[in-house]
Amino acid sequence: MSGERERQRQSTTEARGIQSVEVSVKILEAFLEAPEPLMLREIAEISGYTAAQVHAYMVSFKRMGLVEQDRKSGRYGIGAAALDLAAARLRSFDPMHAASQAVEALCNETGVTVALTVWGSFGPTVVMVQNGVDTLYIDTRVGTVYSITGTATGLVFAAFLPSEIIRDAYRSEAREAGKTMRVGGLRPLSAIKDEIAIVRRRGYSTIATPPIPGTTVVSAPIFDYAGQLQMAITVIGNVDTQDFSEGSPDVARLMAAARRLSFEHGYVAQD
Amino acid sequence: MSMAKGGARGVQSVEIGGRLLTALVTSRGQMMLRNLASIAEIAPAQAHAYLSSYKRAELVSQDSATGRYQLGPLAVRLGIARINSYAPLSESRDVAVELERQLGTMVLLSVWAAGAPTVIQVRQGNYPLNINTRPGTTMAPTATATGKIFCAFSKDENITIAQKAERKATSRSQNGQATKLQDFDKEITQIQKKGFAIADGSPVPTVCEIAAPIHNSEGRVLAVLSVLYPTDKIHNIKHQSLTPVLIGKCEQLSARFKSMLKSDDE
Repeated sequence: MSGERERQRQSTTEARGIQSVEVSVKILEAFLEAPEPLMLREIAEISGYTAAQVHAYMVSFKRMGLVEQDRKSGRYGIGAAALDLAAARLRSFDPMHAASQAVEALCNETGVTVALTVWGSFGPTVVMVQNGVDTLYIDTRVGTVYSITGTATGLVFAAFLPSEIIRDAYRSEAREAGKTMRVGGLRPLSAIKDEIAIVRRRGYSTIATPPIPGTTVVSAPIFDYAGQLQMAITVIGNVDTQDFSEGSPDVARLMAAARRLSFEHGYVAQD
Repeated sequence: MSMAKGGARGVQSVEIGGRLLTALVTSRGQMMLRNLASIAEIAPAQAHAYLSSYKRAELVSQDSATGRYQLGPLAVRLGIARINSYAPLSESRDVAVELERQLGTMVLLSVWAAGAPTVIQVRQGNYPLNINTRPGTTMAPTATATGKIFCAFSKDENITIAQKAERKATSRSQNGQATKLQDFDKEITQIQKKGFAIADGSPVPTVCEIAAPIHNSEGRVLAVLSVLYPTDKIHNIKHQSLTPVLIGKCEQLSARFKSMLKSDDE
């Protein structure tokens, strides 16, 4: 009987523990968008708790170094321990491992081929491919280098990398003059201006004439916490059977996967 | 406020949860529940409840394949919030941008975080260097100019311990660049005298790095600012022209932070 009561007491404590941990994170999140230290009242307003509740948490946070209080103004700011948390996360987070899990999941959900591309010394370079159920003949394998202007993936890099990098890479691509195994054609940078504007607005790219006829391709960017483009995730389907139109379920799945990967890098879209 | 036991004494469960976060910071890489719980001195079942809450809040993530835990995406966002809202750091970051514009070199801003010098800001400069340095990159504590500045000017005991450990590791390494203990101590003394450190073609043979400290209001190392440029025919001339500019910026910032404290006291 007393054992039962003990167990009950423990589980209540545990539930309370969980609740206050979740409250604590919500209170910490009040600091995310604050450009400068906050008054207790402001933290309470943003997080939706009373000033007395917030104060109790501030006492603990201060002790943990997660929050600092200015002696003079009494304002609270996020503390130095936040940098420890961030540094440890960045050290343990493996972008390729996270991406490989996302590529596999997206391939299972959609049934189409999914490719992961990074910016290499020669341009957009495929580093991972998961083949879909329909055995399409495609030109994408690990190590494939895409053209910047002639592929959906290339357009993502053109839209989100600094323009000087794209200009330089485009010049060396033009010098190859079709003598390499690069996939996709070459169009003048001026010819893709409008397409790039659409990619930026929609957040993903398509290509009207893919390198392999009979395919339909969509590519989406993955950003790091600084908003820099890290990778592109690309889906390749059969144009006769696959719907990749705007608002289609599979484009939504691609976008959700890309957003989730960016979020894991610490990036949150500003919209 | 039934959920917040203690009031002015704080919230006990938050501090217990904090022990798990600390365990994740000090661990190298991802961890199993059992190990985490034992380091944090919490029963595994209780640790699991805490970790589930942190997971829901994205402060912790769990690998779906291995079940191992690491800190989550929110950790990075909190770190950025610290840099944005803590004036000495955001001002130092602005100066790094200024320095890049003025010198055209690559510029790094680093702080001591989670047990090692950690880059928080990278400015690429006008010519790209072939090194893989990004925000979050760890700078070797004894092999880089940035690391040596922490070693020379930091009064923090943990920093000395971390660097001693690394120095021991490198003196056993096979790369032929191992620094003898005595030589290293001599170099550190010199750096303390000169106020800056140079890593000339080491650890990356094609890159030179000059680093100098930014002190906070208490005279402790707040951050280290460094400029990086290629080793070439004129890099010795560059040393002489870049160093005073770098030191000037760092001293300006340090003086400013010192005077901020004084005006606080008035």
